[in-house]
Amino acid sequence: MPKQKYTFASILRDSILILWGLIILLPLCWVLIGSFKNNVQLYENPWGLPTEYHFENFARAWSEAQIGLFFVNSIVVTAFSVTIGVFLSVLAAYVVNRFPYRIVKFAFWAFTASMMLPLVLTLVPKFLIIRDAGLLDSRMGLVLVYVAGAIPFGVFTMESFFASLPKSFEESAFIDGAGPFTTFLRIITPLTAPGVTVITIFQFLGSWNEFYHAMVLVSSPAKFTIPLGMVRLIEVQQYSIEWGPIFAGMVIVIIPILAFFALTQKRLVGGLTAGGLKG
Amino acid sequence: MQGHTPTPVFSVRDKRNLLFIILGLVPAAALAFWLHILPVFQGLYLSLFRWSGLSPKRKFVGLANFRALANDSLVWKALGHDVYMVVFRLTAVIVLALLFAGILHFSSRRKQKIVQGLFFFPNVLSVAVVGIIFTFIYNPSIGALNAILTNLGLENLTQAWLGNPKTAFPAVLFPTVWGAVGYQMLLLFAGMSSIPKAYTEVALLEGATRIQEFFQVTLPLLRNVVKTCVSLVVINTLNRTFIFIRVMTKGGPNDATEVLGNYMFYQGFENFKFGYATSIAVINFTLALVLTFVVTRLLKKENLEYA
Repeated sequence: MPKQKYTFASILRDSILILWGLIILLPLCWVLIGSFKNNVQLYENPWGLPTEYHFENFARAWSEAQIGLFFVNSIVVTAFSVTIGVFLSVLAAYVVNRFPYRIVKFAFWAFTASMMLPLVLTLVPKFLIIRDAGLLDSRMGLVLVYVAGAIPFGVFTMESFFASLPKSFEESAFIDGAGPFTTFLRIITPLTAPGVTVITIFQFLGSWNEFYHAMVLVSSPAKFTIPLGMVRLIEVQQYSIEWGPIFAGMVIVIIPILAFFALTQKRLVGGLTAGGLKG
Repeated sequence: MQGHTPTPVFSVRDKRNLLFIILGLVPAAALAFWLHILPVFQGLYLSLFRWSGLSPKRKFVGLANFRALANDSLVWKALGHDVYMVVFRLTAVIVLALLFAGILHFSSRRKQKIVQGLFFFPNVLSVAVVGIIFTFIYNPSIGALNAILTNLGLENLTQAWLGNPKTAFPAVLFPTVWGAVGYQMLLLFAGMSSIPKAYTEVALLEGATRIQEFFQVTLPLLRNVVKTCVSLVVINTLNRTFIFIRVMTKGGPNDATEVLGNYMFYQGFENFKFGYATSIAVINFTLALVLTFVVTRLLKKENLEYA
């Protein structure tokens, strides 16, 4: 695009973008500012910069409001779900892409079709399945549900990745006498980094942010993940709320996502548009 | 696949391959079946029972749950709210996303990068986080919204946004748009970028203005992408938006924000009527199918191809 002068149209276009940019940023900035205030400052001047900084809000959010505990739970649940989910997706995607048998192709079709399943309809049954397996109120139950939910998209994405990977790698390994296990681990796995990065990002965001299933599957505060813990915290404190630490808690929750976003933004945007346009 | 035999490399004649297929496919397939696919069928099946979920007894009642639904005035109210919610989100999200993608299309690379990043960021925040932030913003005593209105001299507009049945629903829906526009914008922008330059340039050479070119050349060529976006918004609205309602209002005040997803949750997990809850979910699912069909049908017309 050639360099443009400022015209009425270009100013209008920029103003629209700036306006929406502010609509996105202002709520986040407001929470950040609020995280340094105490109740008096928040009630008297919701928008003003803090007149005195209450850094202890962060410490109180971390320990008293137990956000530290929720953080650890989120890390554990996410680490397990992402590791297992990515591993199973990559393996299954490799099988469905490489082995030309009818039952294998059917499995791929089933994975793909199940990406569009109606979530609301599955909530009660999932609760019953997890309950009957004796996994209610456990981090393990959450991990299983998250992995199961992530597999279809993971297989779908990785399958298209393997489709672009020439079979000559396996053919030469086969001639050297290597079996599928050796070939997969030694030759294929090291080549999957680009695809694995994309599904790892998605599965990370999916597990880290998940609230919907956690809400029905976990009931004791000791096992709350961050989203669930934050919502319950607000419910409990509804009438005698100490806002400062809650705002600080929100900041603690948003910062890792912001850092993660900054690091992965390029791949995230690429992965989203590639997957979305196919579907 | 019939017709050609697999090359020896991938043939199950080699027993190692057979073992590899089983070990590679079964864990993923079993897990996805157990906790992702099976629950759908179980949901359909459970909607035919009366069951508290707690007692071992469940009673087959056929379509009685659905007859009860038809007489439940809250279901009709929720259904109406669901349709309103779809129309509201569809209009707001798609119009804003198209507007932003269209503007980006005319912008410099640098601006595109910054805007894509910033506008997409809300999409990676948890529903719980966004819901809480906006619950605070609407709060009548410390909320940012009332404070802004007061500063602008619009004090008579200040109110308890989530407590007033008139404003509660739009107030809950705004953050669902806030958190969704970026993604749709990316999809539409990617679609615009994949249209060959020749088409748009010809129009400009022929004397069309940028705006004419956008509406008469780019937009029609974008129809399939728009269709994808529209279906995604409809499905997400009926499957996920109720989570915002769970966080922010729980269907209140006075059922002003009651939708089927939230009502399903209430009947299932607070009232412990599991059969009734799943029958509400079946209606929700049916509504999603019908609305997706209707909306994509409206966008159908003839398909333009440039490939």
